[in-house]
Amino acid sequence: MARLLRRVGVAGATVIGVSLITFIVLDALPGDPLAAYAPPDVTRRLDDAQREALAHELGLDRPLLVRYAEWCGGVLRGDLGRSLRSRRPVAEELARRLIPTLELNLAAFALVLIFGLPLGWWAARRPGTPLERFTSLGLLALYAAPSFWIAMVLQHLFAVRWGLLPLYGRTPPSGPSGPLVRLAHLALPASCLALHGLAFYARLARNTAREGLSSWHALEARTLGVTERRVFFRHALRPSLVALATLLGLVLPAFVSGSVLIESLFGWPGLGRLYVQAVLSRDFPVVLGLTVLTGSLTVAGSLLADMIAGLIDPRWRAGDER
Amino acid sequence: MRFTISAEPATLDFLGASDVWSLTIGELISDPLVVFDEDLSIRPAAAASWEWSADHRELRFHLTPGLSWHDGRPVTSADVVHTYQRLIDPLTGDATRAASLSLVTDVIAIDPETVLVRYAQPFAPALSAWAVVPLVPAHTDPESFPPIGCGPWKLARWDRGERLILAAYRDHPRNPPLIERLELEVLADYSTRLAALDAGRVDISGLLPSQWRDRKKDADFLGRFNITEFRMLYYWYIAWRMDGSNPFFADARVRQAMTLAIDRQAYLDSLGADASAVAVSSFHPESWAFDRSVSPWPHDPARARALLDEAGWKLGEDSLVRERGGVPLRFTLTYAATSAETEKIAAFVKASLAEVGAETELRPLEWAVCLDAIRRRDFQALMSGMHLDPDPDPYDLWHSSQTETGANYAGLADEQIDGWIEQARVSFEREERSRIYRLVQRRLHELQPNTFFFYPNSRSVVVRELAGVSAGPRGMLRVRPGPAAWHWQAPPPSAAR
Repeated sequence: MARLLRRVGVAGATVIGVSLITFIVLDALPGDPLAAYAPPDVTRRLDDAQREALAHELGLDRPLLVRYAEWCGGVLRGDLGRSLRSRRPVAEELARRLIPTLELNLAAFALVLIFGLPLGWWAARRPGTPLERFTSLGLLALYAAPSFWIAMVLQHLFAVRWGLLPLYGRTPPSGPSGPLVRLAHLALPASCLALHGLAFYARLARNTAREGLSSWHALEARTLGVTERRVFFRHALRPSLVALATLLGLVLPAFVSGSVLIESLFGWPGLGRLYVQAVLSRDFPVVLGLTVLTGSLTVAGSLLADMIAGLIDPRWRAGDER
Repeated sequence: MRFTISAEPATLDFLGASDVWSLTIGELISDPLVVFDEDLSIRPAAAASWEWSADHRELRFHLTPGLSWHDGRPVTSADVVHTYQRLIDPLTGDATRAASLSLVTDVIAIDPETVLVRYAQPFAPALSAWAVVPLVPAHTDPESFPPIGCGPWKLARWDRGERLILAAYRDHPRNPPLIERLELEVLADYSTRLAALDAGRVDISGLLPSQWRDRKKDADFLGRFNITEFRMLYYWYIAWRMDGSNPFFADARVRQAMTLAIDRQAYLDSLGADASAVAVSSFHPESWAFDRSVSPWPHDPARARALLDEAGWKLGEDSLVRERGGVPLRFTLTYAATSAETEKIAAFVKASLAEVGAETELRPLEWAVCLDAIRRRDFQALMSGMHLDPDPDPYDLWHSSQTETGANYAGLADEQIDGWIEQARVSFEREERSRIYRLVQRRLHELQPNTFFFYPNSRSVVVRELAGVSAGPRGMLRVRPGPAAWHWQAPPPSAAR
């Protein structure tokens, strides 16, 4: 418990550190700070006095530490500031896009778990057979294929040619938008995201399972007459799950940082596009909000991974007590 | 009717934002006092008529009879006063549009149908500033949603990040729409847009030149769609910084040689099937102020070499780069590396100039960094694109007072041009203004502060079932009657999807 509290404390300090570093880096970035406000063709009409007034209005003319302190005060009250571009509260902008991004990434991750892990385990039990080799090669090809290419092929087949699934968007422009319709909209983008992850996780599951199956413990169990099925569950499945849980910590922040390419191709209203747009247009409050959000999730993810690993594998808990 | 747009508006507070989609949708939902038509002339909108006082310090607008807000209340002069006050308030208004009204001293409601605008001094382009200010009602909370306007369309739905659905406002006295709904689908990716056209999901969408190249011989595609083209209010240019901060471009002969050396038509031809045109000046070819008698400088490398020789930049033996007094003709070309197209133009320019003995060092910068370099005038030559105002007043582009803070990036300071620009700003007769701008264009042509590269074209695909579609330099949506005149001559294919 003490260890957990300590880790939570460190996590909090890390998030504060991330926010401060982001603040300093954003401030030091070269470029016109009014770029977020309007394109130069528009701001060119402002003279120096008007530019200064605008910078003042946007709070860009005050010292860095003052702005940081104010920003921290705001965060404690749940106020992440206002977007320079839309003038809307950052928290509102993030919240609006967080749900679609989570939806897409969780759906993709679920597909990966449902199809990727069993595929890896299946392959691990048939090492060297032609079918296993063929599957591995297929997975490798899938992993190497650019996701925009996969997306365009799937769009062409399922939406344009066969008209089975919606081409883009999260909701239909008209008509009912019940759960089934939502799922249909999710199908293509989530599959595209999943196909890439699928190859990765299947290979991971296969490798860890294979290691477990060829370990001394597995050999010993077999000689003691334990069935192959039990050997598999004990020595192959469990190590794969631990490896997966550790990875989860790395995957969690990717759930919110979004996939720019997939979101753009499928017109998906997520965080990925917001991130890119905010960085390019120097919309500092939005970039800062997103960085702190992903930073917090990275930290939370690694905490969570530790905890899950502890639940699955008693050795982790033993390490804790030592 | 489904139309793809590349991004969502930053906000639907019509007065608060300056991104193109906020402005476009603002103008659909609420009428400004006046609007631009296809040749960029000013036409009545919320104001049915207007007149200047004899000293041109007072502008009187008479509101269109029968014009009402979407909630049924009449549009009155109090709303115009309210709109103006919200725009100039830094807390609620967009500073850039407020700046274009900086000569206004007062906006007064004379009676419910008449508004008087007082100006500090006579200013001929003043009227056009009102064409980008959609009116907002005085009787509703500005933060309320959906926003209420007095335009031909009212906001029916906004699926954030996905689409805006506008419904026809049939009680609009001037442009009641013929179709029921205008669905603006946010779709940034061009390959998905094309797929959406193929799948019959959308009715109008933009097309990239490369996509058009692939499809222009596709009989099935041409059978389903019409093509609408328009020349954007935009031009590509290279500004030669001529203020003496570098040893090259203060001499007009060098600038002329640069233009002569670049085969702009060949560049456009290399894009294939693109209807963009070589640019002549900063005036838009479809504007009433454009001088059709001036034609672009030709591609003539021999003449370019002769001009450089004449200017003292000579090619030594065994040398590929010209020199003058030991200084090589080697300069940097700054540009924002925002797309493959800018890289392509930069490489083309570099190769062209090398042929006449000038060495170009390319300096690609990230977008916001480039903006900062432009603002600090930290460049020798700058390649960029310029958005034009619908009003042709080129004060911020070419007046000598704008060399450090405005958009006179080349640093042109020419007494004649200054005089003409100032004169045109107080000439209220269009013929007179037009005559003066012709003088400006001829002088610009001779001085070549910029190499005016090309006027880009925009191409959209429209399903054949839709009729009445037209486009002006401001696009298909920002023109009157615009979408209000669109109508179905056969059932819409997208309705089935």
